Amino acid sequence: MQVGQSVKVAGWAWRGAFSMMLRPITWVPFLLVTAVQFAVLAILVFFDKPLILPFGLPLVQRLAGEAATHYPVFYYALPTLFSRANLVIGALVASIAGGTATLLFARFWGMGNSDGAWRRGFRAAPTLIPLTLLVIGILYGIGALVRLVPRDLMLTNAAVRWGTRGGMLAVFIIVQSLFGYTTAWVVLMGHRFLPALRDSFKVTGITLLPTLLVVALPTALLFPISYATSRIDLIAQKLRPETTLALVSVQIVMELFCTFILVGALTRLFVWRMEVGR
Amino acid sequence: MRRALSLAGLGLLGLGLCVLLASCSRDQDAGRRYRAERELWQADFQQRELSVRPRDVKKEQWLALANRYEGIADRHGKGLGAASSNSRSRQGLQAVAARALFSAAQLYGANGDSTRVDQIFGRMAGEFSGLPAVAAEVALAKGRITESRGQFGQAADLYQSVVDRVQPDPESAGVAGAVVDLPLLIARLRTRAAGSTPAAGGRSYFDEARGWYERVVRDNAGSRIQFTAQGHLADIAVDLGDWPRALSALQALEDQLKAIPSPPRDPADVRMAQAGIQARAAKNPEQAQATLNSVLEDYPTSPAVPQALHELALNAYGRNQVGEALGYLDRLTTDYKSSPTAAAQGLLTRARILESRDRWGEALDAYRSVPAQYPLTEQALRAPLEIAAHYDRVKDQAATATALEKAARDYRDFVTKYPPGQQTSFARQQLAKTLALQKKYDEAITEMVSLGQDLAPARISVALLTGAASMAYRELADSLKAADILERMGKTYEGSPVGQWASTEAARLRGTKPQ
Repeated sequence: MQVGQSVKVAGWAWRGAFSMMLRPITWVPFLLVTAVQFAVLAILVFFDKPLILPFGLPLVQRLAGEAATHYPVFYYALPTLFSRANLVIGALVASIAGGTATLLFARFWGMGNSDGAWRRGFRAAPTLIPLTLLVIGILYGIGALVRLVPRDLMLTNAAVRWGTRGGMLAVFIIVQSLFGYTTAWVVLMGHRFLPALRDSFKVTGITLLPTLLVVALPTALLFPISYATSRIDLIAQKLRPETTLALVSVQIVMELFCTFILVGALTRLFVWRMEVGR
Repeated sequence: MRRALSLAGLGLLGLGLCVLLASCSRDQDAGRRYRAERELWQADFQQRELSVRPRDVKKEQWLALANRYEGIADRHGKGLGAASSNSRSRQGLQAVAARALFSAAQLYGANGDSTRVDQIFGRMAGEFSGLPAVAAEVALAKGRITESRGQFGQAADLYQSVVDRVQPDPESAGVAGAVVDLPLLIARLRTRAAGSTPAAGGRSYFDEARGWYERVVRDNAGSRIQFTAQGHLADIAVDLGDWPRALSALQALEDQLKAIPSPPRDPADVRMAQAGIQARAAKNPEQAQATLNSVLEDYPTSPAVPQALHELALNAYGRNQVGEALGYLDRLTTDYKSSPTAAAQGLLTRARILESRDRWGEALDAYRSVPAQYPLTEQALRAPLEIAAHYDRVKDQAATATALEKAARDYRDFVTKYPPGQQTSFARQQLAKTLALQKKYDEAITEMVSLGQDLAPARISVALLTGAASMAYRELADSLKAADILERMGKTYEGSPVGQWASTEAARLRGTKPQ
C-alpha cells in the first residue's frame, strides 16, 4: 500500500471513529473505565482520611513506598502511583471494556450484532486479560531498557535524552500496532490466545502503515501529558504539589478520548480487512 | 448495564485484593502526620512568599504566620506524650509539631518577642524531650539567643548539651553540621564568662576543646570533619598565643588538603592564614612576605591570590616600601577587575596610602573611582566619608561641609535605589555617621533608632540604639528623648541583661537632668 493511500485509509478510519462519538452507547465502556480510574485516584488522594486510611495507606505504601505517605512527596509520586494502579485497571477492566466497545463499534459497521455485548465481553475475559497482561509486560520490559542508557549521558546530553524518548515512543507505537487487533479477533471471531496473536500480527502486516498511523495519533496526543508527568518534580516544585492531581486528571480525560479514537479506528480497519478478505 | 457495573466492581475488587494482600493498616497516626505535613508545607510556602519582599510585609503578618505555625503544633502535637514512641508515624508527627514550633519561635525572635521565644522553647523542652534531634536543635537555638544577650556561661552550657547529644557531621545542614564549631566556641564563652583570657584562666577550657578536636582528627582521617577540626586546632593555638603550634597545625592542614583531589577548603587559604600569623602575631614581616609570595607561586589560580596581593601591599607599606606597595595594588586592580570586592579594596587601599604620603590629588582620584567603578561594594560606601575625613584633618571647613553634603546625598540615593539588605544597612550606618558629622543630630538619631530596631536582635542593633540615646543626651541635652530610646530598647530586648540595663537607664534618665 502506497504512503498516500495509507494516509487516506488511516484518515478514513479516524473519521469512522469520530462519527461514533455521536452514538452514546459506544461511550459506555470507556466512561466506565474512566469512572474506575477516578475512583482509584480518589482513594489514593484521600488515603489520609480515617475511613479510607485502613486500605488507602497500604495501597500507597505498596505502589510507591513508605516515602510516598509523606506530604509533599505523595504528590511527586502520584503519577507513578496512578500509572501502577492503572496497570491493574488496564488488565481487569479496560481489557473487557475494550472487547465490549469493539463489539459495539463493529455492529455499527455491519459486522456481527451487539446483542449481549457485555456478556460476550465478559465471556472473552479469560483470553483478553492474559493478552493485556502480555502487552503490559512487553511495554514494561521495553521501558526498563531505558535504564541501560547511562544516567549521566541522559542528564547532560539533550540529543541522547530526546533520542531515547523518541525511540521509546516509536517502539511503543509498533508494539501497540502489532497487538492492536487481538481484541477484535477474540471478541468478533472467537479466537483463543495464540491464534489471536498470530492473526493480529498478520492484519498489522498487511495494513502496516495505516495501523501505525492510527495508533500514532492518540499516542502523540497523549505524549505531552505523559512527558509533563515524567517531569513532575520540576513542575510541582515551581507550583503547588497539588498541580500533579490536576495533571493526572487531565491525563485520565485525555486517555478517555484517545482510547475511544484508537479502539474505534482499529475496529474500523479490522472490519474493513475482514470485508476485503471475504 | 448490569454487566458494566459488574465490570467496575471487578476492577475495584482487583485493587481491593491487592490491598488485602498488603494487609489493612490501623496506623491512624500516618494520616494525622500527613495532614500535619501538608499544613506545615503550606505555612512554609507562605513564609517563602512573604520573604520575597520583606520590606512590604507588616509585623502583624509575620506574627500571624508565627501563630499559624503554633496552631499546627497545637492541633497535631498535643497529647503525643514526651516519651519516645514506638510508632514511626507518631515520631514523624512529633517531628512536624516540633518543626512548626521551631519556625514559630524563629519568627517571634525575628520580630523581637523574646518572651514568646522563651515560652516556646520551654514548651518544646517539655513536649519533645524524647526526640534527641529536636532537643539538640532547641538547645542550639537557645544557646545562640543566650549568647546574643551576653549570658556567656549559660550559652556555653547549652552548647555543651548539644555536643554531648549529637555526633558532628559537617555535611548536614542541621544541628549536626554546627557541632564541630561548638567546642571552640564553648571554650571562648567560658573564658569570657570567667572574665579571663585564654592564656591565663581560660587555658583549661581550651585544653578540653583541643582534646575533643584531636579525637575527631584521629577518628575521622581523610574526611571533611577532620579538616574542620584541624583548622580549629590552629584557632585554639592562636587564641592561646602559641604561634609555633598554630603554624604547625596550619601546615599539617595544608599538607592534608593538598593530598586530596577535591579538598573541601582551598589550601591557599590555609597558607594565607599562616602568613597572617607570621605578620600579626609573630611580628615577622619578611617571613610573612615570603609566605605571601609563595601563595602567588604555588596557587596562581586560587581565589586567595587577590587577597595575597593586598596583603603583600600592606606588608610593603609596613616596611616603608610605598612604590612596591602601589605596584601590588596596581596588579590587583588590573588583574581582578571582574572581582568587585577585591578590586574596590585595592583602590581604597591605594587611596589611603597616597593620602598618607601627601599625594592628595592622586588619592582623591582613587577615592572617587571606588564608587564610580564598583558602586555595590562596602568600600564604595566608605570612600565618601574618607574624603570628608581628609578635609576635616586639613581643617578645610568649606570642603568638609561640601564632601559631607555629597556623602549624605550618595547614601540616601543608595538606600532608595537598592532593596533592603546588608549593603543598604551599611549605607544607612554611613548616613547616620555623616549626619552626626554634619551636626544634624535629630536626623542622625532618627536614622540610628530606625536602623537599630530593623536590625534587632543583631549585636550592631544594641550599639546603634545605645549610640542614639547617648547622642540625644550628650549632643542635644535631651534626656527625655534618650530615655524614650532606651525604653524602646528595653522592650526590644526584654528579658535580657541588655534590655534590663536599658529599662533601668531610661527610668534613671526620666528623673535626672543632663549634667
